[in-house]
Amino acid sequence: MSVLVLFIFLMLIFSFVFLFKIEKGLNRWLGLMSVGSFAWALYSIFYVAKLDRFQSAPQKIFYIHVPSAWISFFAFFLVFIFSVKYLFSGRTKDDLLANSFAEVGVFFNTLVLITGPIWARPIWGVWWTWDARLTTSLILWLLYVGYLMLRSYVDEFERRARLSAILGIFAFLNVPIVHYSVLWWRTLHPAPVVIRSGGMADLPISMHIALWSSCLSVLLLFIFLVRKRFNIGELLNKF
Amino acid sequence: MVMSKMLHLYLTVIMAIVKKDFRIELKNKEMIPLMFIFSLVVSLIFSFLDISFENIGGRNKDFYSGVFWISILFASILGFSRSTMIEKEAGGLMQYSTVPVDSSAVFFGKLIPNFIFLFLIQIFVYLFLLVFFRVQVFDRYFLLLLISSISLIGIASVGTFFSTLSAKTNLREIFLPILMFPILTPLIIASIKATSVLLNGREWGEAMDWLKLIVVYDLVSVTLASLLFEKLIEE
Repeated sequence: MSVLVLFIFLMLIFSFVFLFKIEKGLNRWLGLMSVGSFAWALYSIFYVAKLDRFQSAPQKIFYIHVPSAWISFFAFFLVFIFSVKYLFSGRTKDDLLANSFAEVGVFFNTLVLITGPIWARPIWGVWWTWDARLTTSLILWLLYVGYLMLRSYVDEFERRARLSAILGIFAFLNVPIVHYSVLWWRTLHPAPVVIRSGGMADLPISMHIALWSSCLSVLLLFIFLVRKRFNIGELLNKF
Repeated sequence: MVMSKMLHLYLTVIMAIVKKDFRIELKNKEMIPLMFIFSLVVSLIFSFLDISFENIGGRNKDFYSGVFWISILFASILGFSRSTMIEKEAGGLMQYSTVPVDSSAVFFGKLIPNFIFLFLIQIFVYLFLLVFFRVQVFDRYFLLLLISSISLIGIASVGTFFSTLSAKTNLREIFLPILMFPILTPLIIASIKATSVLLNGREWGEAMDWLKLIVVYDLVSVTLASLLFEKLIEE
């Protein structure tokens, strides 16, 4: 166990130094803050947050799973916003932003789809089940992987931007219908425990600390990655 | 006065495109035979599965509702991509951006023939269910046809839209199912559920909730597709 802790510690130090070396300006500080807050989040997940009475250790993955899910939904929402913006303005910047959000959103959605089964195996006894939230996230993943594939199969810049903006709008407006259809179909996923309609749920304060610090690190990582992807897109577009 | 003239022009454009698609079909006799044979093949494959489960004519008809919709879906993929490819090869997709009215006319002009072809195919697929799987479809034939036709509107609109979209990529029609299937998920779930209520001989009121979902999906997809179609075909 202590070897693992040492390894993670070294990895954090390494990424800290690495980011400090290669990044400049705002990106440097975003990256460093993201790594720093992730270190704090890891500490608070394993040493501050209490063990769940029923689920014990597997519950810890929830601190990564939930923030990733939130941020990926948020990213797909932003894809929609910037797709609409592109169709009205026709500015290259909006298209590149929509693309960056889609890629980073797919990354976080993939994390959700990987961490979910790891949790589900010990708790539900199965890796996968056709529950509403699982199905919705899988279909979201398929839709936005389709979005990224569409972008790679169109060469001409203007047409690529237009077609992918159209798909970005169509896919996002489809999501609520997908969600309700699979919700009526079947539901097994635990009901939301952090934010309910009646305000905050009664999680212990130590769990809140772990969850929100993990959220902060995921948010910083998200902004950092989107900025990087946007810069790369701009450079590719220039040449 | 100007409004009615515009409306007249709009309907003329729709009718011209519909007529053109039927004329192509009458001349080539390509799409309906293609979709017919393909749905037959798919039903046949599923009947092997059914035989291996020794479930022919079994009590629970959910499986056959699935067979019906999978056959329709696969056949529709062939139909949509073929009709769009004919357009693309003849340079028709490019010409559409010059129509004198709103481009949604082009969308409706493409939607109507696609829907009618699918409508004809589904009549046959119900017969396959009767012949291969011994499902008594004739008990409620018109109700079944009505409900599946309502959801065929959704399939036709999404198919028309995305086949045009995928025709503009490098992969052309191969790309269509990758985009179309995830988008169609809610419709397929609802259609399978609604059809299986009827096939199982339960009260048709139980299918009402699913029917509402199908209608909402149709409305959303037709509206979205007709609004975005202008951006899709502009060059």
